[in-house]
Amino acid sequence: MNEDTKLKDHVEAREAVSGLIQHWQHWRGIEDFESKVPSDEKVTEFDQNPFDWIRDSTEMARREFLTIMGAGVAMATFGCARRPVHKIIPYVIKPEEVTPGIANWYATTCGGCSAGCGALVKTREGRPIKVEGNPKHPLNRGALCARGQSSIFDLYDPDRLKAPLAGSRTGKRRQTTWAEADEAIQKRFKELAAKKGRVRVLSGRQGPASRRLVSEFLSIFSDGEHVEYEPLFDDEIIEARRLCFGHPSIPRYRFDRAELVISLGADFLGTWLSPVEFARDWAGGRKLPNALNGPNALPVKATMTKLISFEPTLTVTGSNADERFAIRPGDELKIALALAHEVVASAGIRSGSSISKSETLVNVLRGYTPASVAKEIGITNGDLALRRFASALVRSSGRSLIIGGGPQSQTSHSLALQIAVNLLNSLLGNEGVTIESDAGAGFADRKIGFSAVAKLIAEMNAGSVDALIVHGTNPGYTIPRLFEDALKKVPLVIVMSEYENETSRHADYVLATPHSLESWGEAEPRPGLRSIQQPVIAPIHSTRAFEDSILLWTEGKRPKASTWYDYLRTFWRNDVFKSDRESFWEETLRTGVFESTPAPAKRVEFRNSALDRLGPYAGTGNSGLVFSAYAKVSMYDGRGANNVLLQELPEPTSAITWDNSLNVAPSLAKKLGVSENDVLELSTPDHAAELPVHIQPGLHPSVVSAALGYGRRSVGKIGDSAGVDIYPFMTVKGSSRFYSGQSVQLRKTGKIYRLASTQWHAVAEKRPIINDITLAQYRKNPAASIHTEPELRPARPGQKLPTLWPEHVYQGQRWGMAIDLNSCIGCGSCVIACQVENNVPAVGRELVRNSREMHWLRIDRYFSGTPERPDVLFQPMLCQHCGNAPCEPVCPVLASVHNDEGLNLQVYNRCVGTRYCENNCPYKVRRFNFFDYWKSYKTTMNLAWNPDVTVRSRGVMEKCTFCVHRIKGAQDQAKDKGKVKNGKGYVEDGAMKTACEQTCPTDAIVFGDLNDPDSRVSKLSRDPRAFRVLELQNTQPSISYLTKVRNKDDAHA
Amino acid sequence: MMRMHEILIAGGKNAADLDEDVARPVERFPTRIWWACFLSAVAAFGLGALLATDMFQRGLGVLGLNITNGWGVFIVNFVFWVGIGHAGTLISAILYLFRQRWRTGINRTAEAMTIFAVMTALLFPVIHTGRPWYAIFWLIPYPNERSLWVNFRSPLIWDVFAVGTYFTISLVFWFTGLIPDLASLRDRAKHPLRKAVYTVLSLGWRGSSRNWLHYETAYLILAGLSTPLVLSVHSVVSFDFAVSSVPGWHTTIFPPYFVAGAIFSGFAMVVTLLVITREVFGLKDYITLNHLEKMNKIMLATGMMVGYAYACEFFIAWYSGNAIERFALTNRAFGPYAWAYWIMVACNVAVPQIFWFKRARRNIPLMFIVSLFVNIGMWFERFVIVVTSLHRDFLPSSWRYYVPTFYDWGITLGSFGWFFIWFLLFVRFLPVIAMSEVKAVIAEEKGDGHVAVA
Repeated sequence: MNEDTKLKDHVEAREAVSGLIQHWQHWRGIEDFESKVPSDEKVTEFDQNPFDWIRDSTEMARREFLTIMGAGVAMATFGCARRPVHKIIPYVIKPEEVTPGIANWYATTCGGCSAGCGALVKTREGRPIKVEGNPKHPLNRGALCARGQSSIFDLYDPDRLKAPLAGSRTGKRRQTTWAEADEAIQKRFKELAAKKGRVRVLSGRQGPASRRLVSEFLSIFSDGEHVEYEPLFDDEIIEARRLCFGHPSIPRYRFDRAELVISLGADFLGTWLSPVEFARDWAGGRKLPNALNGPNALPVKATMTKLISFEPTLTVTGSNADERFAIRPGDELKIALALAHEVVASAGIRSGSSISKSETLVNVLRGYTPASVAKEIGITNGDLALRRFASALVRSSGRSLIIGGGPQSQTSHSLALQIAVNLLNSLLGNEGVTIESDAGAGFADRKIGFSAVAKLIAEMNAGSVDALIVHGTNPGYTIPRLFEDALKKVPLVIVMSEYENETSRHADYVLATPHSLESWGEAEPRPGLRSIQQPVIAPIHSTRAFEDSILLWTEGKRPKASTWYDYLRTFWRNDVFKSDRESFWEETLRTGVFESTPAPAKRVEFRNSALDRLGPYAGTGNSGLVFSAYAKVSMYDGRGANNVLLQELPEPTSAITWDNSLNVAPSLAKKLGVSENDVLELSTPDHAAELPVHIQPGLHPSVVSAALGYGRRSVGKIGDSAGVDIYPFMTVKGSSRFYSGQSVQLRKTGKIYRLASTQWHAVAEKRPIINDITLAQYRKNPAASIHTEPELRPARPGQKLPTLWPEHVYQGQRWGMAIDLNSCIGCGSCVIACQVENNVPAVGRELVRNSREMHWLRIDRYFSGTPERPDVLFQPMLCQHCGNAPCEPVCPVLASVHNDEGLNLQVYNRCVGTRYCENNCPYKVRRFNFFDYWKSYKTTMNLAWNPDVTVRSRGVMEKCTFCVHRIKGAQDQAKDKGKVKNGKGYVEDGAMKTACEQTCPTDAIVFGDLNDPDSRVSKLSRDPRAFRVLELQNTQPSISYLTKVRNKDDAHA
Repeated sequence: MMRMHEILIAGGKNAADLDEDVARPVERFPTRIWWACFLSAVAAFGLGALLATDMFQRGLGVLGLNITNGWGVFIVNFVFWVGIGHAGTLISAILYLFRQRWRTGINRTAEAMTIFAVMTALLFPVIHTGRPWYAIFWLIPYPNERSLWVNFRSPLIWDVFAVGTYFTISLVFWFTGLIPDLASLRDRAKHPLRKAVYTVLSLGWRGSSRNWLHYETAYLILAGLSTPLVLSVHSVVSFDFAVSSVPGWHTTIFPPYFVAGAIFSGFAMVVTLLVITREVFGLKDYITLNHLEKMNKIMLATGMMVGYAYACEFFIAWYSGNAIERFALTNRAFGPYAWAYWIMVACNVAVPQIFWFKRARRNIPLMFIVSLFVNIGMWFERFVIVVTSLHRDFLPSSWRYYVPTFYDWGITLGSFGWFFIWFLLFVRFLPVIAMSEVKAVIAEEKGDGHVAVA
């Protein structure tokens, strides 16, 4: 088209339009009526270039002149007032993989603990912003625990070491350079190699490549040893398996194959070994029949894995047990042997077992009658319970699982307990079924556990260690005094750590190591399963991986290896893939995991010689106070102490944040005359500490417990002020250490310390909030509701109540959620996942005390039953996205509005903060920004924000959005694929997950479209167990909860 | 002429005495007592303003509010001050329409109090918001290019209209009543500046019968307009609570209960102020014991209405059979805030019962103390409603306890300072007694037959 025709077309079009305008009253067709003028020809004020006016008109009209002058003046005025322009630097050459606004996901291994779960890391513009579970990883299958979810904050922690430090142990530290440190260290190592020095490496659990690298390094020296130590790991399991089966190993526990689980102290749902894997497996066996797992499944025939727990303090596992007994630490052994007594005595035992005929066994078990054990441990009608459990075990032979351990049960009986557990499992034929023996290399050639550390300490004290390298473990904190004293006798101490810590204070060199998201690594969660850890960001600070340092210092001995990456890759090629094909490596990086066919499970036979370690029954008769130290889901062994998210994650059972407390049973508190927050002095002959009291139902009246991992002395601003260190109460006897079972004294101090709790009242007051029934009741009537006032429930299910305002209509998709209270274990992963995803700030201890925590998703816990034996129920509580929302009509400025997809939206920009919505919300899920919390996010912390979610300013109300940004993202993707409904992208069921749903280890949360009758959430919301919280308020929530069902024996419900 | 009631003007005062007595405090240099009061009020306001400034800079976190208790002392203060205002409107409008001539001695003060109380009340809804710099505009429906509008379903918007209307009408009504008296002051003024100011304010009043005719008509119309406001304003304020779903708030009794409470507290505040004013300015002849006794009777009556409402709430909670509602009321009387509840009952129900005795009704120190008790009691009534209902609502997991901080108390004190600054300026610059109206009563009592058309 040449210029002339263009102009002509233009003129014609204009004429057509002006004609249209002139005859506006008389429309010629429906097009005119709807003013269907071709859009580019529409008459607008910008239709003509304003300068054409000036050029075209020979004489400018007065009005035009004034118009232009006025506009000019206005533009000049506002032009001056415009705020300064901040220029950003665009990519000159855009990295191939990075598209601004689109997230990249990388598979790696979670560094939250040593379980080795697979993770997917979401990065935006090269910046990791969220860690999620890797769905392809056989261990955690997409889920992640609270520690894993929060680990992204450790990456950006401003208190991290930013460069290597050097300095005398007493004097001031100084920052040094890598070259300087390397020169000095290598010089020392050369001397040591020459004069037959003794070098030790102490680390946390290491992957195989790393272990080999260390051994190569140590081979430079005539005497080098590598010791691995995980403070909360049950070393006794390995030792007991050596004694019982001749093969030191950690077996694979198959909760998915068990129909009866008895836990003797082991908090396998919270902190024990591999909690995410266990929780997933265990919850799988507790899913009740519903529309999802088979429409024909009948409640009448429903079965559930039963969990029985004996534990000294109330943990996540005990809270989820169908039957739970509070015991004194150390009594686990007696219970195990009493069960064994009954199992052996019963005729139903598998004949193939040769153990039951053993003379020694009969002699050992003789005294452990249920009656005498129950009497001693103080369980009312305990003998009946033990007999009942024993016969249940026999009934479930080969399909049951007995486990024991964990710090709360770790006493001088721990090794015997593990032997008794092995005995029971062997008697019942569980070995090889619910417990898969490790047939791999195992732990035979590894120096692992406290016994190895005890030997190291002895060597250090004897002055026979010339150099010590500590990495990935913090013995200065977890073995206080003992290790610290020994450290002083070592001439060269090198600590490689992400943070300054209690050990590094005694080091000559503190070498900053990168976060697991900044470095290469690997994990071997179980034999045959390898998980790769790949960096997703270049090191933020001047850090160097432990392995890189070791490689560098090994130089000269081995051919010049360039980096740890090369070493690892070579190792995997030779030892893991056993193939030169590049695609193996690339595929592993993509999926994050490599599973080789494991060696066939080894058939193990119980060795009767192990029974020698079990003593005959002897009643202790000790009724004094004993102590039990336990690990919290959040703090674990204390490594995450500087993480605000973990510090502010309420302990599932006590709802306490930011501190550990001295937990006492209600009856003990009464006896002592203490109330909540009174500070007591807890003392053993060796150590004393002052702790605030928390009155915890479900504790044995002669047990007090406190959590490990608090009272850090030098980790950073967050961790150093939190709680009291419990590690000094650890008892060391020879080569073993026990966290629990010490006799303790309590003394009132008269002080008061206010614990920051997120829930003050733990009884549901018979309100229609929660529902729990027994399995027998469920079989009879799955819709049974027994714990609520009948008049607070709708007269009939689905009863329609009138609303004041017209009800909303949802033509497209309507978002909703179903939360299965029967699956929820209260672990708190969802709380942290939500916080990280939605930029929800942590507010600090003082504001939690004043009930201003910001968690969009919280977990309410309610107790029923008696204070001695409470039944616990966890209920994730978040915005219910009500159809008839109380928050919406009361907002004066329309900041709280409803959309056509059933979401309650909160318009932050419009919110003026009257807090009326919050008052009117019956669920109290709205959160108000009392201060500018984002201001406390300093320096690197600012990198952790999710760019898809607005950071809220003070004075603004916020709440759960059902991850609306994820919904919009999924809709856009669907639209790109051409799946459109009602003008919006149609999101297929399961194509989009909310952050909480994504991370839930037990799949308790299901999100989806309520308007699609076939979606999972629709089906679940029609389940007979489904109920809505406060249904009679007629808020019409989009969230359905499914009744919790407890697998109690009918007569003992 | 037959007297329908007892003497309302004592001491045989005539119109000239009246002018002299009322204008005296306005025309002389303020006394030391006035200065002491004024400076105290300024200091109190200063403290509140200082704390509020700090609050604006840091955030509402300085207050005692938490997630469960979204509202606290500020909303208590808002309702308290709006309530106080009601007595003025009742006295000036309703009593005017009912030809209660005893109102003339006290209506000016009562109306002034209304205006200042509403001005004080209006501070709180603004400063209690998270972002007052937006709230002050966005709660008002004005056309804007973003087509943003307010939510007419929200009782807070009804509040904006109710209280806004109330303030406007009350101010106009008060000012209209002032015009003849301002003219008197203008005529008496010697200083040119004083004369100029009063000249402007008196809007060219000449006292002609034409002036009076227009005046009386306007006054009657405004009285008619104000009358429904006595009922409407506090009804609408009560909707803030009654329309919500919070147990303890969600009750139909709230509108009448709030109105009765408002009049109750308003009269108590009028008595408190009048007892001081008549003492300090020597106006005992115009604000007589007879006036005060009538006010005490109203306090007794409204106090019992309020007491009835307290009882009725319990009955309805029980009768409803709703366990959550029952709990809310039981929790009020016997829960963690029982102390506040019993302060309220003692001050509002028990203490005014003393007014059954005539000697008590006519005892100045006693009525002063009782009026203070009622003020305290009515403040606690709002505290009980706002705080104890919120702190334990539906989900026991969110049950909390609310403790106001120094900022809450300091800003509350500041609001009293603000109120008294205005009130003291009023007694200093404007006639505290409606001279023109009282002159009519003097004339009537003296029986000279010249009665202003009322």
